[in-house]
Amino acid sequence: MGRSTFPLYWIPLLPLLGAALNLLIGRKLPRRLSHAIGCGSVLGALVVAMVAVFYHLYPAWQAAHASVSHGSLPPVPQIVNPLFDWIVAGSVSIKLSLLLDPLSAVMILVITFVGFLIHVYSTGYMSKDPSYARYFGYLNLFTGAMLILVLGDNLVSLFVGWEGVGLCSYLLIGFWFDKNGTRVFGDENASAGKKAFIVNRIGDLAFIIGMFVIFAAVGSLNIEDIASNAGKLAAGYKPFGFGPYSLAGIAALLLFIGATGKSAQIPLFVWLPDAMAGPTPVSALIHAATMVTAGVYMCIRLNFLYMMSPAVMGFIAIIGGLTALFAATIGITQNDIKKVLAYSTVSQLGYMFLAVGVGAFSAALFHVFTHAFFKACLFLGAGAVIHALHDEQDMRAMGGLRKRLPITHLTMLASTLAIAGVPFFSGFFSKDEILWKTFISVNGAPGWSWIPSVTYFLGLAAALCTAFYMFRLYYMTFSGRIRAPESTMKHFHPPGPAMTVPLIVLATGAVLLGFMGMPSVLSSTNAFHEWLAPVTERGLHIAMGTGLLAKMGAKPVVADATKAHNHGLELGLMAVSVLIALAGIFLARRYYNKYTDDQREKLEDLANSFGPLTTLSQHKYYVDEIYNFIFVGGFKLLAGFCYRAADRLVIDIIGVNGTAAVVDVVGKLGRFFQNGNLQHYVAVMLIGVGGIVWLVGRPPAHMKVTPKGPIVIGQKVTIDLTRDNYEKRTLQYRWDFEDDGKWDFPKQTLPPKDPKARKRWRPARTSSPVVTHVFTKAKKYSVKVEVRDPRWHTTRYEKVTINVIDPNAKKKQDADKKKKTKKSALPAKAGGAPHASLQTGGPNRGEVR
Amino acid sequence: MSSAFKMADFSFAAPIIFVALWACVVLLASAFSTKSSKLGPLTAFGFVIGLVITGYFWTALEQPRMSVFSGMLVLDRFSLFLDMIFLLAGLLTSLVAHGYVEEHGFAESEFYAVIALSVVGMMLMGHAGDFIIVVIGLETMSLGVYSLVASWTDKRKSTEAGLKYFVMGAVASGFLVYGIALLYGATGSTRLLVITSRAAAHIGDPLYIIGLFMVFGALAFKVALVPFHMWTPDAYEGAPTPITGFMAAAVKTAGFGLLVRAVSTIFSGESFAYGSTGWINIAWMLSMLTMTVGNVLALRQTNIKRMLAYSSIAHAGYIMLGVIAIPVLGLDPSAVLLYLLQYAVTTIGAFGVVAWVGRRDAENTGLEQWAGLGARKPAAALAMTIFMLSLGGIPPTAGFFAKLYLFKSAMGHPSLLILVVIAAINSVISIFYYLKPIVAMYFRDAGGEPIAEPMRSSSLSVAITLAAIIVFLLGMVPGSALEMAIKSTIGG
Amino acid sequence: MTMINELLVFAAVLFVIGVIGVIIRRNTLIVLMSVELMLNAANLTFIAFSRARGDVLGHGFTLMIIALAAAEAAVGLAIVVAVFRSHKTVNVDKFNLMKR
Repeated sequence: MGRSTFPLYWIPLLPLLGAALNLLIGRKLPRRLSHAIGCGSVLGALVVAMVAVFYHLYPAWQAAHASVSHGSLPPVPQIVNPLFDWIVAGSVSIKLSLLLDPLSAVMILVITFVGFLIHVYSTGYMSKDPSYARYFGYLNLFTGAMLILVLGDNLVSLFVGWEGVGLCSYLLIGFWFDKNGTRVFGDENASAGKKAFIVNRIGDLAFIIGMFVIFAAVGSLNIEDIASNAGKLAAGYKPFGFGPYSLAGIAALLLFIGATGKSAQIPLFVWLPDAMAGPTPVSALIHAATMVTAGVYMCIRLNFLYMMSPAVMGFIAIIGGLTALFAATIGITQNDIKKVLAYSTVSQLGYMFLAVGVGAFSAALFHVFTHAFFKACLFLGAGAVIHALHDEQDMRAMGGLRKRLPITHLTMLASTLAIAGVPFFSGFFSKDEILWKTFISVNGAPGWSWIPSVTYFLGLAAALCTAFYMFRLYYMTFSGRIRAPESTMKHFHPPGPAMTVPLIVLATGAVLLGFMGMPSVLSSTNAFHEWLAPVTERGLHIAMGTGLLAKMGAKPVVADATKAHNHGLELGLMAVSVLIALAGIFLARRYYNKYTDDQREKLEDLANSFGPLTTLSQHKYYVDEIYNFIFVGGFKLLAGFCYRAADRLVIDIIGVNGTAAVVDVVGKLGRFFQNGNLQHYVAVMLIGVGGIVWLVGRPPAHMKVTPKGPIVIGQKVTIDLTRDNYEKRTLQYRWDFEDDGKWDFPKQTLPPKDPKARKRWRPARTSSPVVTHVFTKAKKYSVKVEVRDPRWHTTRYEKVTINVIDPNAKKKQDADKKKKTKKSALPAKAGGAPHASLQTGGPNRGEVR
Repeated sequence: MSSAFKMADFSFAAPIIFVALWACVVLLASAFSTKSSKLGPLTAFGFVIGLVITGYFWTALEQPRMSVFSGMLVLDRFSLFLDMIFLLAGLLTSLVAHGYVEEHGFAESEFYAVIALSVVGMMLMGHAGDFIIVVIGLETMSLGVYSLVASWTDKRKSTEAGLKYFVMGAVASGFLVYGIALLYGATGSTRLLVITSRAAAHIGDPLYIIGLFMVFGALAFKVALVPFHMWTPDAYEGAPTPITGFMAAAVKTAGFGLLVRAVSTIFSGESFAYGSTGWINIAWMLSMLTMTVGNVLALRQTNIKRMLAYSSIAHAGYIMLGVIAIPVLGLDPSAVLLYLLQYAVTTIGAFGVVAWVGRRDAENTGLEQWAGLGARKPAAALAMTIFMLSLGGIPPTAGFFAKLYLFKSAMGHPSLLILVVIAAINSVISIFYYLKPIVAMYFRDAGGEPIAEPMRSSSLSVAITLAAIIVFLLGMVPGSALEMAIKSTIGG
Repeated sequence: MTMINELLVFAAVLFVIGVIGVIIRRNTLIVLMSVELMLNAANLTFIAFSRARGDVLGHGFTLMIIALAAAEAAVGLAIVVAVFRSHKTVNVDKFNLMKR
C-alpha cells in the first residue's frame, strides 16, 4: 500500500487551539483578534490539508493508479500519522492514528475550505453579537471535532468526533439562548438545542451498540483491522429464533440507525428543522455542509461492511428515498426561508443515503461534495437576506430584493439552479448520477429486488418537489414587489464584502464543481469517481471474500452490467430528470413569480384542491406532535410509573402489605420512599436482608417434561427436576400426579396412632429429582410436586400441566359420526391404575455430613 | 494460628502504620497550634508520603500474596492499589476540606486526624485476612466517618445526617458481627481462607448461608446497594461537602474492596456463585435495581448534593456489575479497580466544586443558584463540566474509558450481557441529569445578583485542578493506570 | 454442651428484639441501646459456638466486639448530644429535615 507519513495532526489541532484560545481567554481579547484567531486557525488547517493532499497523497495516488493492472483492485493510497498508543495494557491495545486517504481527503478539503469561508462570512454576520469570542470558539471547536471525525483511522476517534460535533451543534443551536431575554428553559432556542441533543442520543445509543458488536466480533475498532478481519463478522445469528441475521448486518444496521440521528433521516430527522434556531452561518456549516453528512461519510468509510448485507442496503435505500420525498413535500409549504432550506437539506441527505443504499458510494460522496457548496451558498445567501431585513425570516414578507441585493441574488440563483438539477450546474451531475445508479442497480438480497425501481421513482418525485420549492423560495424572496415594511427598508443592511466574497466563491463552486464528476455518457473520465475508486471499490471484494453473501443465499448490490453501458438509456433518463426539473421550475414560476394577489388566489385554490394533503405538509405531517405524544408523553408516563412503582407500589404495597408484620410494627411511617424517617430506612434494609435469605432459602424447582407437546395415553412421561451442576443441595421430593391432594409417589402412609411414634414419623419422600409416569386418561393433568430442603425446613410447590390425548379419539369421532345414524357409541375404556416408576441413576449427590 | 508475630511483620504493615502515626502527628499538631490553619496541608502531606510508601510496596512486592501477622493481614497488589485510592481520596479530601472548613469555620481541630484515622480503617479493610480485621477496619472507618458527617454541629442537617448514618451503620455492624458469628459457628474459623477451604462442605447449610448473606448485606449497606441505600441521600446531603465526597469516594471503595475480597474467597467456588443459593443471582438483581433506582431518582433532584448522592448509588450498581464479573472471568479485578480509581477522583472533584461555590452562610447547592456560573467563574464551571462528563461516561474523560473497560470485561460472559445492556441504557439516562448543572452554568442567566461565587482557597483549587488533570489523563492516556490495575491481582 | 441450641435461640431472639427496638422505639437513646442488644446477641452466639467447639477464637472475637461496642456507644452518644443541641429533641420521628 502506498503509505507515507505526514504530520496530519496539525489539521485538527489548529482549530482546536483556536477554540481553546477563544473560549478560555476570548472575553478579554479584542474582537478583531478573536476573529483573526478563528479564521486564521481554519485557514491554517486548510493550507496544511492542501499540502497533505496535493503534495503527498496525490503522488501516492498516482503511483497506485499507475501500478494497477486492469481489473484488479487498486491499492489504497494512504498517509498514516500515528499519534500515540492510547491504551496498551494486557489484552487491550488501542492505538490512535490519523489516516488520510482519498475519502478523507475530500472531506477535509470541504470542511476546511467551506469552513473557512463561513468563518469569514461570520465576521460580517455576527459583527454586532456580544458573545463574539464564544461564537468563534464554538465554531473552531466544531471544525476541529469534525476533522477528527473524518481523519480518525478507527471507530473510537470517529465516535469522539461524532460526539464532539454533536456537542458543538447543541451549543450553537442554543447559542442565542437568551435571545428573547427570557429564561432558557422557556426559550425555544434552547429547547431546539436540547431536542437535537436528545434525538441524537437515541441514534448514538444504537451506534455504540453497533461498535460493541464489531468490537466483540473482531476485537478491534481500527477500520483497516475490521476490513481485513471482515470474515469474523460473517457469523450468522438467530436472535429469538428469527433470522438468520449476520453479525455484519446487525452491526451495519445499528450504525446506520446512529447515522439516521446525525444525518437527519426518517425517523430521527425532527431535530434538524428546529436546529435553524442557531445563527445562520452555523446552519450553513454544521446543519447543511458538513456535520450532517457525517452519517454518509461513516457509511462510505465502512462500505465493505454494508456491502456484506444487501438487505440493510435495501433498507438504507428505502429510508433515503422516503426521506428525500417526504422532506421535499414538507419544504413546499413552509414559509420560513430557513425552514425551507432545512427540509431541503434533509431531502438532499436522503439522496445521499439512497446512493449508499444502492452501492453508489462515490456518487454519494460526490453529492456530499457539491451539496456542501450550493447548500452553504444558499444558507449564507438566506443569511444575507435575513441580515438585511433585520432578522425577518418569513418569505411572505420579502420579495423584490433582486435590485437591492444584486450579489446575493445572483449567487443564490446559481445555487438554486444547481440544487434544482438544471443541466451543467453541479447539482445536476451529482443528483443525476444518483438517480442513474439507482435505476441500474440490482439488490441481491432475497425478496428485495424491487428496491431499485421503487426508490428511483421516489427520487424522481423528490426531484420535482425540489425544483418547485427551491424556485418558490427564489421567487418569493427576490422577484415581485417589495413586501417588507417601509421601516425595515429604511434601515436596510446590505451585506459587506466579508459576506459577499464567500457567497461568490461558493456560488462559483456550485456552478463549476459538477464537471469534476461528469457521467460516462458525456465525458471519458469521471475524475471524482476515479479518485475515490481505491476506497469505494474494495468493499465488494472484501464482502465477497468473506463468503457471507453466498452463505445467506444473497447476491451483492451491484450495477446491472448491461444497463450500465447502455448510453441511450442513460441519456433518456437524463432527459427525464431535466424535464422533471424544468417542470418544477415552471410550476413555481406560474404560482410564485410575482406573488401577486391574483397568484395567491390561484394558490389558495390549488391548496384547497389538495385539501388535507396541504394541511399535512404545512404541519410537517404532524411528526413532531406524534413524537411528542408517543415518546415525550410515553417517557413522562414511564417516569410517573417509576415514581408510582417505586414509591407507591414497592414501598407501600409490596413493602407495606407484603411485610405487613414489619410495617405494623413500624406504624405510622410516611408514605413515601425517602421520607426522612430513619426507622423506615432500617425497615427497608431488613426487608432487603430478609428477601435475600428468603430467595436463597427457597428450594429450586425447574421442571422439564419429556416428551414435549401432547402426550398419548400409555406413553411414558419423564418429569425432571434436576438442577444445574452448581446446585449441590440435598432436596426431597414427592409427587401428586392426579392433583387430588394425595401424594402418589412415594406412596403416602398414614401416621401411626401411637403418639410417641407419631412424633418421630416423617412422611415418605424421595431424593431423586427424576420421575417417570404413565397417564391413563385423556385429560389435562395438573401434576404437583413438593420440593423440600430438609436443612432449611423450607418447601416449595410447583405445578405443571400435562395434556394427555387419546390417539384413537379422532378415529373414534369419525367412527361416531358414521355410526350416529346407527345410534351406537362406544363406551370409553376404563383407565388402569396410575403407575409410577422411579428412574434410577438420577443426579442424586451425596448428602453433606 | 500458633506462630507468634515476627518483628518483620511490622515493616510489612508500614503503609498502615505510617498513616496511623501521621494521624497522631496531626492530632498533636492540632493540640499545640491554636489555629487550625495549617492542619489540612499537613494531613495532605502525610497522605503524599503514604502514597509514596504504598507505591514503593506495590512495585517491590515479590510474591503475589504475603501473609502478615500470621495471616491477619494480607499483602497483595490488589490491596495496595486500594490503599493508593484511599490515600489519594484522603489527600484530595483534606485539601478540599481545608478551604471549606476555613470558609465556614465549623470543625474542631480533630477533623483532619479523624480523616486520617478513617483512611487507616479503610486500609485495614483492604488488607484484611481475617474477619477480626474486617470488623476492626470497618468500625475504625465508620466511627470516623460518622463523626465527620456530624462534625458541623451548628448545622442541623449535619447532625441529623450523622445520626441517621450512625444508627443505620450500627445496625449494619450488628448484622455483620452476627453474620460472622454464624459463619464461625458453621466453619469454626474467622480466617477468610480457612472458611473458604471449608466452605464446600457447607453448601445448603442454613447457618453458613444466612451468615454469608448477613455479611453481604452489611457490605451492601456500606456501598449503598438498593435496598440498603436509603441512608445515602440524607447522609450525603447533610454531611459537610468535602466529607460527602470522601464518603462517595473512599468509603465506597473500601466497601467494594472488601466485597471483591469476599467474592474471591468466601463467595468463590462455582457452587456458591451459581445455583439458586448462588450469590450471582442476588448480586445481579441488586446491581440492576441499584443502577436503575439510583438513576431514576436522580432525575428528579434539584439539589446538586442530593443528585450526586443518587448518582453515587447508580455508580455502585455499575461497579457491582464489575464485581459480579470477577469470579466469572477468573478473578481479574482490574476493571473494578480502574473504575473505583476514576470514580473516587471524579466524585471528590465534583463535590469539591460544590464545596468551592459555597460561601459562608450560603452553601449554594441548589441547581438554580448555579445559573450563569460559566460566565462568572469559567474555571469552576469548566472543572464541574469535566467531572459531570466523566460521571456520565462521555469521552475523553476517565469515566468513559473506565466504563467502557468495565462493560467490555463484563461482556466476556454471556450471562452478564443483559445486565450490560441495562447498564448501558442506564448510563444513557444518566446523561440527562449530569447535563443539568452544565446547562445551568452555561445556558441560564443568573436572575438578580450573582449568588454562587467561588471562595478563594488555594488548597481547594489545587485539589480540584489535580482531580481534573487526573480525570483527563485517565481518559486520554489510561494505558499505564490500566496496566497497573491489571497487575494488581488478588493474591490467593 | 447441651445448652448450645438454647443459647443460640436465645441469642437470635435477642437479636430480633434489638432489631425491632431499632425500628419502633422513638427515643434515640433506646434505639442505641437496641443496637447494643444486637451486638450482644452476636457476642452470645460467638460464646455459644466457642463453647461448643472448645476453642478460644470466639472469646477473642467477643472481647473485640465489646471494645467496639464501647467505642460505638461513645461516638453515638456524642452524636446524640449534638443532635439534641441542634434539634432540641431526641425523638427519631422529628429528624426529617431531608427527604425525597
